[in-house]
Parts: sequence; structure tokens; C-alpha cells
Amino acid sequence: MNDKELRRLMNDQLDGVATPEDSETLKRHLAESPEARAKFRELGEVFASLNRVEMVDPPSDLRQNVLRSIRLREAPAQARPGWLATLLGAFQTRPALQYAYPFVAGAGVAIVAFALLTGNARMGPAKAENPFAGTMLPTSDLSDFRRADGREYRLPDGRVSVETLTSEHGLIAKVEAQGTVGTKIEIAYDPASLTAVALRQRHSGGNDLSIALGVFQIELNDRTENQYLLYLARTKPGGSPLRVNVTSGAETYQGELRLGTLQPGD
Amino acid sequence: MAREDEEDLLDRSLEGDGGAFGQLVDRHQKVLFNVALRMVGDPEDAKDITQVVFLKAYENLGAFDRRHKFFSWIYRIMINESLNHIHRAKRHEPLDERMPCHGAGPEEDCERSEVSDSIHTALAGMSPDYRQVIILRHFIQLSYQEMSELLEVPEKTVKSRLHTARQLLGEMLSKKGVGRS
Repeated sequence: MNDKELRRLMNDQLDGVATPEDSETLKRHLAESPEARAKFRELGEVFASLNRVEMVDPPSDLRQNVLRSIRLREAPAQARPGWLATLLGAFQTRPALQYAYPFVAGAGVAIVAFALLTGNARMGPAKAENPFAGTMLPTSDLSDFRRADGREYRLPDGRVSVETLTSEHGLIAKVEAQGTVGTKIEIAYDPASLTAVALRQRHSGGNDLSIALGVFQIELNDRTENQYLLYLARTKPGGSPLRVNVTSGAETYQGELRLGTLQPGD
Repeated sequence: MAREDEEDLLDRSLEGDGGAFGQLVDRHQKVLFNVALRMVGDPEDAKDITQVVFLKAYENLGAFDRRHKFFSWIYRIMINESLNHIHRAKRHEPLDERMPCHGAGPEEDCERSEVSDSIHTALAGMSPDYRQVIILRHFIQLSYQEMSELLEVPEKTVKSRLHTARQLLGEMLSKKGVGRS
């Protein structure tokens, strides 16, 4: 019996798929060969070790993160293909981003690392049936970035404006918010083409912030005006628009903002 | 979960029912997370990959061919994601050797954990093809036929890979003194 055939018989026997004839053949060979018995014992130890490996429970927030992320997306049948072609974790620490670093360096601003965010925001369900709303904003002046789009939402007792400002390597989602306590603002970006790299805050009170899987969330805890600049590095050209969802009391406002991807010659 | 139950959950998920998709996540997250963990070796990476896989599945649910099993489909997404991660990270050697022994438990638990860590380390040192077959056969208990369908290679190839993988694993474990009684 050659080594290959012996190996097959041993594996089949320990794997529980050997035929009675194969089992008998192996049994006879083992009885005759101390070397084969040693090999069989070693292989048995591999099986025993593998059997001792236990399944690990997944992290408790895995399910919640997935469901939170799909909440802002369209139903899958209507979804645009490629939206999640490459989802990069917002807290990913590995240098996988081709453009992130020059982008951040070029921004030249004080930034708050995302590690400071606590992820303690609560999020209400998106109301997909509501029509997009909001009025166009005048051009904003933020050096090094070109305004791509903007929307303003007049709340019953406050306002929220969101702008996209673009540069060569990335863009900024600029959020200004003032409203009643409990107002929620959600900015969903396409993680296939963008990854969050930094956040700058101005006049920010004790609002709850979180970012996970392509969604930046703010829940207002005070009534002063707050400003957030979310820096998003481009990981590939194109990408879906930013989606905005604002919930204030019983009212929900939604909209989309163009990214203003630069074209050759821009 | 019966096949028809899963069909119902898929239908409802396609209509945008997040709760239904949540049940699919409940059903498959443990296996997929463990596959990812054994493939890439790092729990945080495994968590990220598993989340991405579920989101990709949700996004592309409309393209899922119902003649196939949902698990087979999502598993393929998982393997592709894991392999992409491995190629990106360019680390075929492993090792999150920091995986702790769950020291609070009895001695047997600790010993079991040490064996598990040694397997974990050895797997991470193997090529993805060999790693996959060990995971599928020993951790998910798939049959040769199911593995063949999933990996899209003949059963003969599955068995050959598995035999070689076990041999390599045995050599690695022997070097670490695991399994010697």
C-alpha cells in the first residue's frame, strides 16, 4: 500500500466516511506496521485537537451595528449595486486608505480623532416614505474646499444645515445644528468610496455622537448652535450621495447631497 | 430554521423589513464570525468583516439565486472578504497570539483554550485554501459534497486538500507539543 492510499484510508476512517472494506484494509495494515500505527495515532491527535476547538460568541454589538447600518439604506431590491462594494470601518486603524493622510494633512485644521467618540447615540428608525426636503443654501466659504451641495432644514424650533465641501482627495460634511433636546441628525455616507477620518467640532455642547459603518449620528443635548465638520477621505472615485435624516419630535426630514466628485480638468 | 422560514425572512428582507434581516443575522452570525476569526486571526478584523458581509448580503439580496442555500451564498461573500482582507494586510502568518486563556474557569477550560489558541495560530500559518477546508469540515461540519459545492472544486480536490491540511496541522501542533499525551 502506498503512502497516498494509506493517508486516504486513515483520514476516511477518522472522518467517519470509510467503507467497511476500507476499514478492514486499514485495520489489517495497522496490525502489521508499527510505523503506520504511529502515523494513525498522530492523525488521531490532530482530530482530537480540532474537536476541542469551541465556537466563539460574536461580539454583542455586531448585530446591532448591522441593523443600524441597514436602517438608513433603501430596501435591497431597490438598492444601487456597489453601494457596499468595499465597506471600510470608520474606526479602522490600518493604513489601507490611499488618500486619507494627504487629505487630512491638507485640511490643516485641528481635528478630533474618532477614538474620542463614544458611540452612545441612540437612533430612531428612518421614515423612508417621507419625501426629500430642504432648501438650497448659498455658497459657503471654507478655504481649500469647493462647495458641492447643501440643504437646510427648518425645524419647528431650530434649524439644521448640511453642506458637502469637496477637495481633491476628500470632502467635508459640514453640519450646523440648533434645535430641541433629542433632535437627531444622521449622515449616511457611501463606505464604498468614502471613509471617515476625522471630526472637527465648533461650539459643540454635550451632544451624543457616534459613527459606525457609514453613518455619523448626532443627538442634541443642548439648545446652542453646534457645528461639526466630518472629514471623509475618498477611497475610490464616484460614490453615492450623502443621505441626511433629521428627526425632531414627530417630524422627520430627509435629503441627499451630491459629493461633487472632481472631474479631470477641474 | 426550516428552509421555508428562511425563504420568508428573505422575502421580508427584500421588502425592507430590517427585523427579518435581523433574524437572518441571528441565525448566521456565530458561524460567520467564527469563520472570519479563523480566516484572519484577529477578533476585531473578524467583527468588521462579518458586519461587511451582512451588509453586502443585504445590499445584494435581490441578486441572490434562491435555488441555492442562503448560507452558501453568504459564506462565499465571507470567504471573498476574508481573502481580500488577507491580501490587503499581506500577512499570512498570524497570529494573534495574545488570545487569552479564559483563566477564570477550571483548569480543563484553560487547557482547552490553549489547544484552541494553538490551532488558531497553526491555521493562520497555513495557506487560505488549506485553512478553509479545515474550517468547513471541522468547525462547521460540512459534508464533502457541501464543501465541494461551496468551494466549487471536485470532492476529490476537497479531500486531497483536507488530507494535506491535516498533515500540515499535525506537524505544526507537534512542534508546539500539542496533542502529545
